[in-house]
Amino acid sequence: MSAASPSSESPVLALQGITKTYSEGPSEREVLQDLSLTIDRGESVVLMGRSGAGKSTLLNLVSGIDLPTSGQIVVDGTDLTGLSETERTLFRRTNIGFVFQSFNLISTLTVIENVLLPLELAGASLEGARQQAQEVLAHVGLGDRFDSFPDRLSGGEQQRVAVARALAHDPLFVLADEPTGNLDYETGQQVLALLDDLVRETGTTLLVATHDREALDRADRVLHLRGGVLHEELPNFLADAAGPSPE
Amino acid sequence: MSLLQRSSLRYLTRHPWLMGLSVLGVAIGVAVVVSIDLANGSAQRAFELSAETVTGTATHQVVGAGGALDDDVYRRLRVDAGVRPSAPVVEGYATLRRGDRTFQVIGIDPFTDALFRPYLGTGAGGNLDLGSFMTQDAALMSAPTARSLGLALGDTLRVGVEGTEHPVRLVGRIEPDDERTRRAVANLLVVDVSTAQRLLDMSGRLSRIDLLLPSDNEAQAAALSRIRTALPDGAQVRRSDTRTETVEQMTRAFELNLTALSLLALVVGAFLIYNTMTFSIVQRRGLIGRLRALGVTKRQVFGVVLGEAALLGVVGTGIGVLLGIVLASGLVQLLAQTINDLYFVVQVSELSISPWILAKGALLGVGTTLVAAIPPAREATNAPVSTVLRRSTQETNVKDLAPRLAGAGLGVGALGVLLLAVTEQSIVVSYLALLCLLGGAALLTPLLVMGVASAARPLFDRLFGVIGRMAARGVVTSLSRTGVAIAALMVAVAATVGVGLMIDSFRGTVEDWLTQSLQADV
Repeated sequence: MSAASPSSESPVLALQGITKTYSEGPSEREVLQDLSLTIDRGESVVLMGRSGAGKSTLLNLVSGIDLPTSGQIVVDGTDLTGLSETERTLFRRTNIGFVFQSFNLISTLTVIENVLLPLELAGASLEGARQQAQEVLAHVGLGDRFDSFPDRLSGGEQQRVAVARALAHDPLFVLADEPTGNLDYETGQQVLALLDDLVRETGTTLLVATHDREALDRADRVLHLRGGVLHEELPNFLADAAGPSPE
Repeated sequence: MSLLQRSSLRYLTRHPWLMGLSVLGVAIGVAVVVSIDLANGSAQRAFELSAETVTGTATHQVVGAGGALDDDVYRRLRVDAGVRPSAPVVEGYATLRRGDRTFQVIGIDPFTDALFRPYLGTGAGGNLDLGSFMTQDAALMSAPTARSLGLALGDTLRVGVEGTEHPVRLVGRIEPDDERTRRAVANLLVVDVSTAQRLLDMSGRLSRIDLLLPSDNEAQAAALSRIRTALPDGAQVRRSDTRTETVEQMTRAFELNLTALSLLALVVGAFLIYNTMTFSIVQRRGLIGRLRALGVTKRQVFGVVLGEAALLGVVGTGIGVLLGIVLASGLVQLLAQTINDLYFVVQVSELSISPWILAKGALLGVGTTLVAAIPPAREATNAPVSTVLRRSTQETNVKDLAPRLAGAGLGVGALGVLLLAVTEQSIVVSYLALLCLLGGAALLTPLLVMGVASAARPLFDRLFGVIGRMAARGVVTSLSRTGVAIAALMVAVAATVGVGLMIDSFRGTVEDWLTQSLQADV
């Protein structure tokens, strides 16, 4: 993991006029409407919104898994909308780390192999990769579970492996989709704290889609998706400083 | 081994039943193909060996119109036409009571035969006592065969020809010099011409006269011209290899039938592979989605699925080839019996294991597995990552595809009907047409399943309630797998009915022929 180096250079993510429409039988549903957003390097951004508001869709677009119906997505100077499917996959391989709601570990790989996978895909040397994976696993408190298979771990442990896997290859971005959704409150808070600590320590940009209002405490920025449109809100620490809201 | 490969291997070992079913599908298909090929090849090889041995070094043969020649023709050839390198042959088949074995009886003239069949030991350097051999009912037999039957020199054998038993005395043994000769003479009973004529009820007649003509074209043409002038009407001189070719032509269709039906077994195996691979892909859609999200490319996913199929194919093929050899050793006797019943007498004492047949079986097994795995592999890679986590996507695809598949099935089936109508004579084209019909029916299956399941739903509902309704709906919701399973079952049933019809039709033809022949005789 590299050292923290937040910078105020050009934004690491720039969305310009993004629209995403899904066909549902004969009708069409517009999930995102003319959405624009910039996120700076090292920022920790929380994306709030009700179920079906389009949070996962936005994360899929930012990671290059999906393409917008219209608009432009520029990640670290690369326009994802101009890349082929294979190019976007290769881009994702080196630049994006994922944390999913349902952990999504590879059940046929051990804990350390799950963390090694993005490193191997990124072409890291076996010895260096192994050492890096061991370090990051030790960092998330799983130094003694290297050779366990995911089904032997608790939900909180699995999510910690997922966090380690997301950060192991020093990605540009970590995208977390409801990372506490399948965890009890306490474990969820531990995972959020761990994720927050690690991204700040490494200077990685974080975009978390969540319902969990506790996540707002740690965010640099808070975005709210309503009706396919983004609204920026004050993060808790600034809201607290500004006094009680009129509501 | 990369982590992707390791993950794939662990998936297979964690699902032994799924893996076992795939391996079984390939193994059975390959075993049937290899065993039938080996049995065919062994029968063919046994016939060739027997034909080559009995023909010996002869370049040409004189044969009569009805399969026999008057023995005066031999005298005319040697004395009047001066064709010296010639030897009379009387041949037929007899059953030896001991061991219940069929032997090829060959009657020779020991004085002229050494040039043609030196391995019999009738020549000057041989150790055969010609005096004993030329006495009535004396016979020679291969030494290993005599040993296996527990026969000693001087023993009397009971030889049955067309229901009549004759005593024959064993006066000598043929000691084969090499393996090829050993196999070739294993079922040979060598007697004097006059003994053969008596045993085979061919008094005053010969089966053929073997000739050794000069290789020089001009000299050969002159000799042939001299021979032809000495031959009576109906008799003809032909190259000695013509006989083997004629027999090969006779059995070619029969062998092709068996080979085509064995390939159907492989097609059923391919369906099984397709089904289990599709099942494993459907089961792993979530896993594939996760891998794709982490940056695993479509090509890598495709390679992993094909790698799994290749592994299953190699293991299944290995088992199939071994099983095929075991099956063939039993099948070869059944096949020889059928050839004996339908065409000519052939004794297959050993299985000829040809490396080419084994290699062909292995190639077919692995190749079919890979081809059968391509659609599920493509399916695994083509679904968009964002939707790949939803299992129902594939089933929706198949349901959407069903009308188009049925349309293609009708087209392919129509092509089959057209091929059958246009070419009745070519057995290869006929099989191609049948393959089209089977393929067409398989493509129609998903739509038919949807129709039948929809029609059956009210009945199932009335009979079994909610469970029945779920069962009828479940067939359609898992269409990508149930459709293929039903199609595989259909091909297997079609193959079974096909073999049954083929055997019945052979039997019917023989019965018709017998009825007509007997009426004519009466």
